[in-house]
Amino acid sequence: MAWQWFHQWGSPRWFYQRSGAWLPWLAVLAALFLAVGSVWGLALAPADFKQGNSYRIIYLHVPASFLALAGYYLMAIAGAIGLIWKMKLAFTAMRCAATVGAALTFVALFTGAVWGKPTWGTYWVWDARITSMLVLLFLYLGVIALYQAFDRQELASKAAALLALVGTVNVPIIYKSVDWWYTLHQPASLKITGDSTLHSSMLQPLLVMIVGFYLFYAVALLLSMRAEVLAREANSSWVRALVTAPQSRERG
Amino acid sequence: MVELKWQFENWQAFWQMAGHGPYVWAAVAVTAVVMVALVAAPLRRRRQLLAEVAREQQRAERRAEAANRA
Repeated sequence: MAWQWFHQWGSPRWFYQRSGAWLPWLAVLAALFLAVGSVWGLALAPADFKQGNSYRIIYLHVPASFLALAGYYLMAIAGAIGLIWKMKLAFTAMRCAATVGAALTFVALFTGAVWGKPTWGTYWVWDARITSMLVLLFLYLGVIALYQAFDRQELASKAAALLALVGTVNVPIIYKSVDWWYTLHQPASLKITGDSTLHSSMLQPLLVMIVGFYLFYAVALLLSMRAEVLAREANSSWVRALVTAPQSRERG
Repeated sequence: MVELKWQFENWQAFWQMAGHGPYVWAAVAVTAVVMVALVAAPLRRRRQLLAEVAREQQRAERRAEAANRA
């Protein structure tokens, strides 16, 4: 049973059909959570008594940073699966996760910079957390560049996967940077164990936004993977069938 | 449950955010642009790919018809 499930993921056609069925639901849920979280965070949550309204950037900055980091693990694990089981779809996931991850890391850095200006008086400091996030951006871009540097797709995927795996060292450093070094960046306000230091009126919309960003990440990754699968399988009979039978549900 | 209330007196106050408006809205705008691009780019690519496959198929059909007539 488990192996059958595993093998299905090796079939691009199966993936394309299934993801086509999931996407509308994921997209509606993502839009719903992001809309509710945005209005709640930007207009309904109380202003911070110290930072005023600039703190509202937290509702974009923290979820984007979460996904930038979680997305890196996803990319590295996909690369490892591709290396071990030679699964093409895993390499596709890795490549697409690199693009989405790089974009979200950029968002995390940008929103951090415009938050830093009114709060710390500067857009940028070479502090441990911020510098290690910049390294994360370069790791994502490195995976993309390394993949494109090779002519042979298989070799390119393997090299990119190796870089992705080596780069995972950076992720715990980012997490711990605010505790290990004396930094300008504040320590985590959200804690899995113990009480968060954020008041519930501010925490609740943040949790809604985090869920929204996770859903959005799934939508963006699946859309990107589907396009990639189509490009790779353009000459196969099932893709040609998508075009000749546009009415069929397969088109998804 | 926390009581929810509108934090700003009017739209102008909402845009200005007591002086923090430019920072907050710059963050919102850049995040929105990146997120829309992440969704729009693969959708456009998929549409182009399917159109390309369809054109290829029509060419193949025309070639087949021409071969039949000859």
